[in-house]
Amino acid sequence: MKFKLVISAVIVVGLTLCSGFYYNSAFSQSNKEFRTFVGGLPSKETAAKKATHQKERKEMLKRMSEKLPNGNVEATVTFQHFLSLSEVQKLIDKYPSIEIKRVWYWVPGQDGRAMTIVKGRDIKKSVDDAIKRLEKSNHDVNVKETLDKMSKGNLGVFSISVKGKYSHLNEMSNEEVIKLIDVHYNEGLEKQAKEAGKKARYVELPEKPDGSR
Amino acid sequence: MWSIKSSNTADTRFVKKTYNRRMVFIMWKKHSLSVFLSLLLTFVSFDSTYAVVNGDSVQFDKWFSPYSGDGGLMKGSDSTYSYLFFGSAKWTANGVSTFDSTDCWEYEARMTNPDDFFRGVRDFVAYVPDAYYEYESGQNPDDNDVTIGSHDPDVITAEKGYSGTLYLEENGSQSDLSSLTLESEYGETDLIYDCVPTEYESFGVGYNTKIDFDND
Repeated sequence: MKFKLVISAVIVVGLTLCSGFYYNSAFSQSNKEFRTFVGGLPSKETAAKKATHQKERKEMLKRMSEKLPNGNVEATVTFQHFLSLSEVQKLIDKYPSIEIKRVWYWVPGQDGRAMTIVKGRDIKKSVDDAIKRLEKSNHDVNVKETLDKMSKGNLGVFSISVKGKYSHLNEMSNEEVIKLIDVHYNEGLEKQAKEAGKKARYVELPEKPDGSR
Repeated sequence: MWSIKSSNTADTRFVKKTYNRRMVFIMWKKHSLSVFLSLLLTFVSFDSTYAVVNGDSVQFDKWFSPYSGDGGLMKGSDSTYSYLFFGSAKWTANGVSTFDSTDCWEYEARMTNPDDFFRGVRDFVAYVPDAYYEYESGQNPDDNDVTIGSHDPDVITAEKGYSGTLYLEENGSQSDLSSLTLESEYGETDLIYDCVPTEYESFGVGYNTKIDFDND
């Protein structure tokens, strides 16, 4: 009889543990990501915390530019204030070795954001084409109003995504209009991801200069 | 029924104990199949609890999802693009107030490697607070989603319509994308601001098929 009771207990415990393990592993699979955000800190953070973060990231870029000057890395560049398309073009033309991948823009002072892939280093053409495309394919009344404003010139660029050598990016970071060049590299995250046999992922969330979200 | 008239004697306690053991044994022997099935049912109920958490069910409080609006992974008006979108998405006052400042919200399209169907992202437009997108491709099972997210869902205005659209460049193989899963998910941010998933609801849909958010 005892044997039967023991068997019953083992079955109950076993099934409970199995189901618990299944439940937990289903979630942990989803949690096993090594991902961080780049482009400054999210809007919710305090100004002091943002300033400390910017300082740390700037120092990291400087350190890497000394340690690995020719290493290529992607980066999210944020600006001190909204720039016009021509101002951004002028800025990137000074750094022909830096590849321009994406441009982030919106109506200044309004919540929301848009991003477009930059083709042929031509910021204005890329954004103008995107607005036309979006007007044609748009299905949302709110977007239509915003697109109308942007197509009439009420548009500011708050970030660009670039790729270049650490040394060149460090040089570019001295530009007055640039708030932060946040490289897609985080030593701690890379280490953790490597140990787990995974890839570190960087999600762009560039900070807007006017505090809008 | 068994009755014990004098429950204070040692003999009676022994008889009661022995009786109880015998009853357990008889129950086990006579109803072993029922007991086993009960245990199996317990296991299945654990499993179905998981399914309810992840499924679209009235039993699941989906406060973190929009209660109205629509979404989908749709074919564009020409053959060059597809788009992942949610539109006129509204949250309840209760939902918005339940989000706290460390929470995040994500809307994902899960499929096998997105590179099998698309060439990447072309444009992104979103109104949700601190909006971001992610296009994850690769052979790793984790690398199988296209996402629009909000890092600040706690500042969403209740009953206001929000939208987000991620435009994807087609590679000509979209017809192979017969089914996919859309997920509305909320998570908490960790020390490096990653959005770690906490709960989600999912919708199994086809490519170019709209879903309605209906968290009434």
